[in-house]
Amino acid sequence: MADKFRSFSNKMKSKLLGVLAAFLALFVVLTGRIVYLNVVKGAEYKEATMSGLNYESKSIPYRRGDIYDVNGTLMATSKLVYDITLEPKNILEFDYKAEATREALKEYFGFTDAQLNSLLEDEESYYEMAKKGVSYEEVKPFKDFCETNEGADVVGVKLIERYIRVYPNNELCCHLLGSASNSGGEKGVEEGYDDVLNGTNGREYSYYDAKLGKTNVMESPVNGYNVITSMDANAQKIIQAQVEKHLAKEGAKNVSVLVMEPNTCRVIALYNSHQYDPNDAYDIEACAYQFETPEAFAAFKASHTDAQERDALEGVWRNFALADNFEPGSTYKTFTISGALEDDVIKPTDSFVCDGGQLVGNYNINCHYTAGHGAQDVGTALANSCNDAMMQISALEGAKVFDKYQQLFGFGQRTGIDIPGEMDSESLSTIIYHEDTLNETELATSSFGQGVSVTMIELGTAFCSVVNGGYYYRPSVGVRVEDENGNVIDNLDPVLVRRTLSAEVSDEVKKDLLQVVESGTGSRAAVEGYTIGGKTGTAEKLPRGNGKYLISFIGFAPVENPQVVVYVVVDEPDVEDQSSSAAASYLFADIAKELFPYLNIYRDGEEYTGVKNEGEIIDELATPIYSGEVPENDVAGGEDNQYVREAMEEGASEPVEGETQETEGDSGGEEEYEEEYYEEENYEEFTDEDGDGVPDEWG
Amino acid sequence: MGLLTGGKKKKGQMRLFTKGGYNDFQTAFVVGVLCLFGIMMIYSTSYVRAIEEERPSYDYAYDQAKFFVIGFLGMVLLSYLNYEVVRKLSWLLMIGSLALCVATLIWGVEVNGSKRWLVLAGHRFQPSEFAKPAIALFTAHMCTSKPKEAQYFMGMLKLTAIQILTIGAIAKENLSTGVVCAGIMIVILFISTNNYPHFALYVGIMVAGAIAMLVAMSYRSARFDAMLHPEGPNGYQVLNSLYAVGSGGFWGKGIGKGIQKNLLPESHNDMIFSNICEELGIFGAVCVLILFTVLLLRLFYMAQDARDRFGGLLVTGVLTQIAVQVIVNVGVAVNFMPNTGMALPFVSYGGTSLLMHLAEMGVLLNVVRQGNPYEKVKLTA
Repeated sequence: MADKFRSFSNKMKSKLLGVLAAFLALFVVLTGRIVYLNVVKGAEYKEATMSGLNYESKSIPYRRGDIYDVNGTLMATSKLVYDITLEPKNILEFDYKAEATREALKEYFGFTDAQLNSLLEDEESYYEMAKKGVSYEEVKPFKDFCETNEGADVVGVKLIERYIRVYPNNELCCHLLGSASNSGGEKGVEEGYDDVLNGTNGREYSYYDAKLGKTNVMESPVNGYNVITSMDANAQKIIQAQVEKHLAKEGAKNVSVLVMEPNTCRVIALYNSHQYDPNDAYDIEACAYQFETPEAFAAFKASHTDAQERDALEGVWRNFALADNFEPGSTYKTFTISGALEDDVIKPTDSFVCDGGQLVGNYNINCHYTAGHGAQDVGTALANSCNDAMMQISALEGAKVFDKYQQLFGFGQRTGIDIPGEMDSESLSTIIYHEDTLNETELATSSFGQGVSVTMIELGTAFCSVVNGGYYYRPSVGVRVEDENGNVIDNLDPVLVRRTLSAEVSDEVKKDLLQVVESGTGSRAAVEGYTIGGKTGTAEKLPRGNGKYLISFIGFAPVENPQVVVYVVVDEPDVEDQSSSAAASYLFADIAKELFPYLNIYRDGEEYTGVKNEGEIIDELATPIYSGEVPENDVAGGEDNQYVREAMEEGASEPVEGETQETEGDSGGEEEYEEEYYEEENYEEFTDEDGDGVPDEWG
Repeated sequence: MGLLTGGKKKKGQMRLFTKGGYNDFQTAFVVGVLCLFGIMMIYSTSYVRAIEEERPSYDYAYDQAKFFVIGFLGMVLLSYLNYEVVRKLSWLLMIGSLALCVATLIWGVEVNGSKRWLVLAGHRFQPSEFAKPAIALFTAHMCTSKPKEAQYFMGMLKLTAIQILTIGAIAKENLSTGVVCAGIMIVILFISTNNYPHFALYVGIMVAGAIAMLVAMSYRSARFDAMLHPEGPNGYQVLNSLYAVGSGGFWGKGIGKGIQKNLLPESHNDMIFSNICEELGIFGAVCVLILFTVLLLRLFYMAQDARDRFGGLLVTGVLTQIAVQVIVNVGVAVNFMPNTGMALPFVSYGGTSLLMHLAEMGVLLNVVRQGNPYEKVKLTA
């Protein structure tokens, strides 16, 4: 062994020292990393470990809350279903268990041998989806069987709970309801109240404690709250039936009907003629109306892209009453004279002479009755729907006052309704003229509703404020939030935004609107026995000269004590001369005949006896129309009123969304939900200590 | 049989056992502490698993304790065996390891997608655990016997031809162990050589081979992905390990109170360091690293005092093995390295690994025993 005495030389020793130093340096680096992980990431990681994020745990789904109509009819609900999954590895472990499991699956869920063979093909698998969406009724006997002695050998069958959304009334109220999937609500109340309807998933997990015991923990899911709404399924049904009857006779591009309770601006019904079934919101069949011929639709179905499909469906879901604007036409005159009367520019008895037209600037703008209506007081002018008189009134008002009342009535702004889909305020503001753009011509045409555009909800809400004594509420659908046991979580009281008119002017305008129906252009909307006030509207669509019109009628009843506002819009009626169509007025009358008795709006002199004219017993009284407290404080009154003044000042400087004074007249209840649920954030919070429904600043 | 009794030595004959000399209690103590600490942590991390497998909660720890008792006795006995005898066996051990590693490739049992185990008489063991000491032994022997060959590239290849074959067979299924083996070999070669350019070429070729292996195996790229994106689909184990390390704080959650062990596969084994961090905190982790540092320092002094070059190089090999394994194991736990199954020496659960480490330490203790006497060092000082 010559090498036996070869030594581990000093050079080698120092090299080894170098190697050792390198290793120890790496130790130091690793220590540094451990410290870094604790100091920098420690909190985050601790939370991740504690939150059980990484537990082998089972999620228990929450139940999304129900949506009820005003009578307690279930409009949207969640149904528990089961997905059956199999674990072939566990099932096939022992032959006798495999046999028992197969037998049970065949007996209780109707699987065939062939199906089971293919499901159990992958012997190593722990997850095979066998059947989806099995109802509780089907699953219950199987579960019971597994509890028995014979059922003890059934293994590897997992029943995974989940909820599906069910709309018992199918397409009824679809645009108010919207739809919901696992990812949340889409459109309507489902989206507007998504936060309340949603709950929190629970979970089930186990951990080992210090005593080596396995502890099972179940955290129950928190179910979503139920939302009680102001929509009325029966009213909606009446409207749907009447519109369908009408459309069968005379088609139209679209018919929309908005029914509101004027004293609170609650939406009772909202109908757009292109409906869909929220149970299957993505069903492309609902898009058929967008195509001229069935062949064109078939071709689309065969070749559409995802984006095209989405667009087509968006078209179906689109809520015309909120999302689409149009020239209101003569219905706008209501607001022209309301503003002029409120501002004392005119008196009801003032006389205006219509000579068939008016020279405005360099243009001669005709009245629709070119022969001229002659001399007429304000009421008659409205009844005649006289453009000439409106031009004269608006000229008296001037741009500033005219715009002030546009602002007060909420035109050019979002109403802030509690369901999504409204046009944004910025766009809304650009489709009406403001003080700075209201030149002579614009002022003249705006006075009779030409050149301006509005949405149905804007005009409907403004109209409610005209007939209810001048109270502009934020329109709403949600009435109450309840938990699953019916405890009230939150009362969604109507929110008073501002006063628009004094009670006297409101009464005056109501009288004028009554005159429109009794002896004026709205006579076709009259229903025998009822005092109905209302206003027609006919607007030629842009570009003009194509003969395309949008016909509308907005009416309310009874005139003395308005209980309901019905706004009917017929877009492009399918008739030779659209401009002379009275489709909207007739439709209004048809709806009113059915709807008013249902809503317990009595004919003049009629008392409720429980017995209909025909002698048959009327069902129980339908739920009374909201008789919400109306603030008594009369604060309208032109520039003497600081709120009106502020509205004007702000409106003048920047006439865009929410700049007008808006306040909440909540009755002092909890505010927390209100804040969350309304997307519109421009409503200032006002305190209301005395609980009279009027912000304290008001008195 | 004078050989066996360690009786009088005839000329040209080698003594089988050595008596007297220095009993290296420090090293034995550090090793014992690491092993006992390991058993404690194995209990803490495995009781849940044991219960789930319907075994007594202490089953894993008991297993490890048995191996520890056998291994520690073996270590003490080996410390009396003349390491020259072991050197004589180095050819046999090396060829045997190569044969076993090749056999594993052919007849091995696949666990978690890697063929790393051989089943012999009902026991499963990893031949690569044998290969590590064999390579340390054989490379130290070759570099001592043929020092001139270590001075040029072709010579280096000649010295390490069998090792490279063995490493290749290991690395195909278990790259990280291959890296440890290569590390042992390269560090011994580095200590032995003076021709650094040739050595650099040699190392360069080894590294290139390792990279080629990395690229060839697809599952390894998934592990790289997991390292770079622990939150990603491949990162479950890495992320949970990070959660464990990061959530311990300074003092840890307390022994047995860790949560992550229930989520970490191999938490009593390759991932034990994560659980040490979680349950004993930065303090516990640093204590473990200090114990290893003390052990490495002890090994360094062993090499210093080695009687001959073979002893020194052998110690160098074992030192490298332990250091690299600790660095890889901890590196994986803190996500400095792609996830790989590498035992923490003396601490991780695993019979083969523990026995082999203790056996190596036994041989090294004999190097100390025959090394420069303590007194002599004192005298010359």
